[in-house]
Amino acid sequence: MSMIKNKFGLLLLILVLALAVGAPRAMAQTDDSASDAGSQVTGDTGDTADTGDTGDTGDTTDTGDTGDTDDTGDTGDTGDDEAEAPSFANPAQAAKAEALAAAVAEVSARNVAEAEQGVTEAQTAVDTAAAAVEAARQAEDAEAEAQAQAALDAAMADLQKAQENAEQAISEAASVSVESIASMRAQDMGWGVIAQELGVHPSTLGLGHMKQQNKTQARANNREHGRSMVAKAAQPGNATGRNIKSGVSRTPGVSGGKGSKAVGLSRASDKAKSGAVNSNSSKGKDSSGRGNSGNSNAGGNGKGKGNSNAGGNGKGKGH
Amino acid sequence: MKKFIAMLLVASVLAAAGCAKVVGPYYLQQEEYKEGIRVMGERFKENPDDADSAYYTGRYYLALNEPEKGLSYLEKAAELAPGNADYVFWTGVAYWALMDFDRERAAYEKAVSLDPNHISAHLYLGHGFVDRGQWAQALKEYDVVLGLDPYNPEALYNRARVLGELDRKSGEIAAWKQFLEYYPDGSMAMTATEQLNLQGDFSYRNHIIGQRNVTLKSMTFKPGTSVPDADGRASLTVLGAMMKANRDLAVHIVAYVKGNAPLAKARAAALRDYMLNGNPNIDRARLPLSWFGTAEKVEVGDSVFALDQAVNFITEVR
Repeated sequence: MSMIKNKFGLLLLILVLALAVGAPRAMAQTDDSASDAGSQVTGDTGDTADTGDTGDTGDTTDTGDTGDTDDTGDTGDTGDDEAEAPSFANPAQAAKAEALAAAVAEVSARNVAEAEQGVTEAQTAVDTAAAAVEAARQAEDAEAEAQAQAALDAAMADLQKAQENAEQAISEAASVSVESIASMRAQDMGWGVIAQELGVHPSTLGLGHMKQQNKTQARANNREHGRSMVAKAAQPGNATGRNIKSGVSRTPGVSGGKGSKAVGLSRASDKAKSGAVNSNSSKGKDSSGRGNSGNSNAGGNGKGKGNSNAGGNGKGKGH
Repeated sequence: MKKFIAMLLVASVLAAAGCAKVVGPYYLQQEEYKEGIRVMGERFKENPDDADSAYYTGRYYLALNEPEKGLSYLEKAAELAPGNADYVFWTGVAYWALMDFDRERAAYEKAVSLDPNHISAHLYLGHGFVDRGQWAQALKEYDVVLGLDPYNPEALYNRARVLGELDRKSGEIAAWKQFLEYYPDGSMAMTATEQLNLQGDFSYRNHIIGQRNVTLKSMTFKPGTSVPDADGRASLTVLGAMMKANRDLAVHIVAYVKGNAPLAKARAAALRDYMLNGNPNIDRARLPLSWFGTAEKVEVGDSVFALDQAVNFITEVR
């Protein structure tokens, strides 16, 4: 019930934001400084444009995109129908559109989380059914075994559907092909991890769009000791978990999705690295096609495989 | 005859030891831990002095989240081969899983005393110091790790965190940027970007593209022109690839140049042209443009930053 209320609330918010974005379109464009009057401007140190960095000799990264803008000049001549009218009438309208997109993404993230939960439940049903088959087999009860087998077959079919549903949900939300998601699964990545690492999970969707009080709370929590030392290591963005399978540093992002630049900058930037010494990714075992795989310098100590960094209390599952 | 039997015995022992070194990693790599326990556990029973068999059996139990069982084998391995830093290191990991943090640290310290270049032991020593809030010690360990493995993701990431905790702001910003240059994807990158932005640096930003939070390197241009720098073009590649994968995706390119709307307009157009040139199948209507002669106001946490020159990407909700 509360989920329905939450969803209803979000949909209402989206509707209000959509109206807010749509309505001012008729307005003439102005450089709307008044619209942000309530904001406290604390600095502009983030201005990274025009830093004088002219040392770039060209982009050697983009194998798929061959566009060369070096000859675009700065005339501003777009030669198209929106040359005279920007799509957003003013910065406030752009900000509202951004908030609307975030709200829609939040709804999507909940759907992804539900799809992931669906897989978990379907897997549990399969495990239970498989145990029933085994029990019937042990009891040498042919009839019960046949019934249990039928239940197992049905549970397997449900699991297949749930997995397809999750694959589709993540693919659509992340704008990454279904094939890429499948390849991540083939690398033994769990649904939840894929969703988190692709930024379509509720736990990571808000990163960078989070309010300060939440950050403060997060930092305060980080200072707890004892038992929480381990639990916090498993939180997204907290990278102090010990990898109980491989003992080496986790490689950020997703495994798999080789060749898909839609995965993110690690596949599009030639400065990206492939992971720690002795990690699977640095040894080319994750089929990711990361930007740079040439950092392995032999040595290191972890001897095993595994990309789990969850750690948790030592009882949680890595993926 | 006695000599022959002795040699045969030695050969058998060596073969058995050799097998453990070959077979042991196999079960780890294949993640067949239960089978590994069966095989190597049996081998250890037959050869109670075989440190390798004990070690791998301990590793399998640990991988199965059974740290208590794992620890007993790992301790046995360390006892049988006291000079092996790996065996000692893994007892530390098992102690961590059992939440015995003092013994964990002692194990790593012993491991680095046996092998000063043991990357993982230094890394996990650093992690332990972070968990305790002992920032200076953590920094020292991460610096050692990065001296041995310059692209170690967790050392790079936590080093930035630690510098922030030590109030070394410029170092923190540089460290986040270094991490993001090497590892610009995933939850760690999103968090790193958030932390970078909180420090007022917007070299990277998290954007909602489609229904996803994605880290992109911010677009910069040759001074006073609409020619984008090479660094940011990878972000356009990612955007283009996402638009190829999702044909419903439309993204506003919104450029800001304080006091120069025409330049902002040229920059928005240049970025669109770049994307369309590289992706001829993308309809230009899916990349609507906006431009403003003002700074972009970006709200991060409790602060609002004014970016005199910036480009934002905003998903069109249809």
